[in-house]
Amino acid sequence: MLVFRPGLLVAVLVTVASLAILGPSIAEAQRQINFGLTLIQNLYFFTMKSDAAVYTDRLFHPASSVRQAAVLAISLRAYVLTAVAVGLTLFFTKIRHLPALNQVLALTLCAVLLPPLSNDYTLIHMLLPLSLLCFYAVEAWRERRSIPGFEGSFACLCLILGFGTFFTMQYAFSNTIRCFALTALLVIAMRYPFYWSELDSLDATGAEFAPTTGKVSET
Amino acid sequence: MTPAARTLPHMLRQFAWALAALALFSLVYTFAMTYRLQTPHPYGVTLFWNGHFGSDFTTFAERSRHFGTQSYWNEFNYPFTYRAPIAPIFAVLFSLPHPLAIYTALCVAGLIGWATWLTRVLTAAGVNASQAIAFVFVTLTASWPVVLLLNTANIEGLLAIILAAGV
Repeated sequence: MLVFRPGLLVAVLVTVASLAILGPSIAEAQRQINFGLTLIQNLYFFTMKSDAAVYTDRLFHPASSVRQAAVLAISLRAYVLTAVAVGLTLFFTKIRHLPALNQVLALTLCAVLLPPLSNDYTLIHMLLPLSLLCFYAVEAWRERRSIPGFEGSFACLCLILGFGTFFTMQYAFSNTIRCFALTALLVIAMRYPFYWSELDSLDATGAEFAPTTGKVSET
Repeated sequence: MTPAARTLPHMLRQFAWALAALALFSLVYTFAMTYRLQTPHPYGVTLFWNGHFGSDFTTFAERSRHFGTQSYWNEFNYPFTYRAPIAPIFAVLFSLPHPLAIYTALCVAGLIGWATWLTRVLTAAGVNASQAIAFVFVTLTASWPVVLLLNTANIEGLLAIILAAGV
C-alpha cells in the first residue's frame, strides 16, 4: 500500500486543484462533472440504445443486453461494487505477488476491463504490455525456452488489437469477442508467471537471476 | 549470437500475419457489405470515411473556450464527460491555434516514438532490422485502437503517452 500513497496523493491533489480551477466552487464543479457522467451512464445503459453495447469492451457488456431499466440500474450498481471488490481482492491476494511483467499486464487489463463503461479507445493502453511481451518473447526465443501461456497471450492480443469488422451478423459482436479475449488474457496473466531478469530480481525458484549475456538492454 | 536470434520469433511473425489478415478481412467485408450488398456501414473500418475525424476531440471545443468562466457549464452540444483533470488539458489544447492538428500530431509523435523504441529494442536484442521494422509497421498499421485513435482523436491518446512514460 505504501507504494500507492504518492500516486493516490497526486490523484487527489490534481483532482481538487482541477475542480478549484474549473469553479465556481469545488463542490459545484464536482456536481457538474457528476452530471455529465450521469448523462453518459444514461446514454449507454438506460436509454436502450440498440447499438450502445457495440462500442465497449467492458466486462459489464453481457449484462447490458438486458432491456429493463430497473434491472439495469440494480445490475449496474451491483456490478460496480463487485468490480471494486474483485479488483482489490485480485490485487492484494494475487497480482502484487506476480512477476513485474504479469503485474503490468494484469493491471492494464483490469483498467480496460473492469470499468462499467470502457470504449474501444482505451485499448490503446494495451500497446505497452504488448511491447514488453515482444521483448520477453525475443529473449525466450534466443534462449530456446518455451513459455507456458505465451501462445495464448498473443492469440488473445491478436483478437484485442485486431480489426473485427467482419464479426458482424446483423449485430456487431466484435467487442463481445474482445471482452472475452481480455478476460482470457487476464486469467493467463494471473496463472502463468513470466519471470524476466530485466524486470524481476528473483526467478521462479525464488533464487536471484544469474547474469545473462546479450540481455535486452533498453527496457 | 545464434542464427535463430537473427529472425523474428515465430510467435511474433504469426501475430503480425494474423493482425494483417484481420485488417484485410475487415476491409473486404466492409467493401462487400456496403458496396455490393448495400447494407448499412458495419462498425469498424468505415469510421474513417464517415466524417468522424477528430469527433471525440472537437466536441469539447466550444466548452473549452469558456474555460474558467461560469458559462463553461452551459449545455453546448455535449456534456463534459471526463474527470476534472482532463478539463484543463482540453483548455490548454484549445487555446492553441490549430488544436486538432496539434493533438493529432502529438498522438502521431507518440506512436512514432513507441514504434522507434520497439524497433530499437528488438534490433538490440538481435532481431534482423528489416524484420523488426516490418513487424512494428504491421502492428502499428493493422491495429484497431491505433486507427481508432487517429480517427477520433480521443484524449485517451494523451493519457496513454503519459502512462507509458511513467511505466
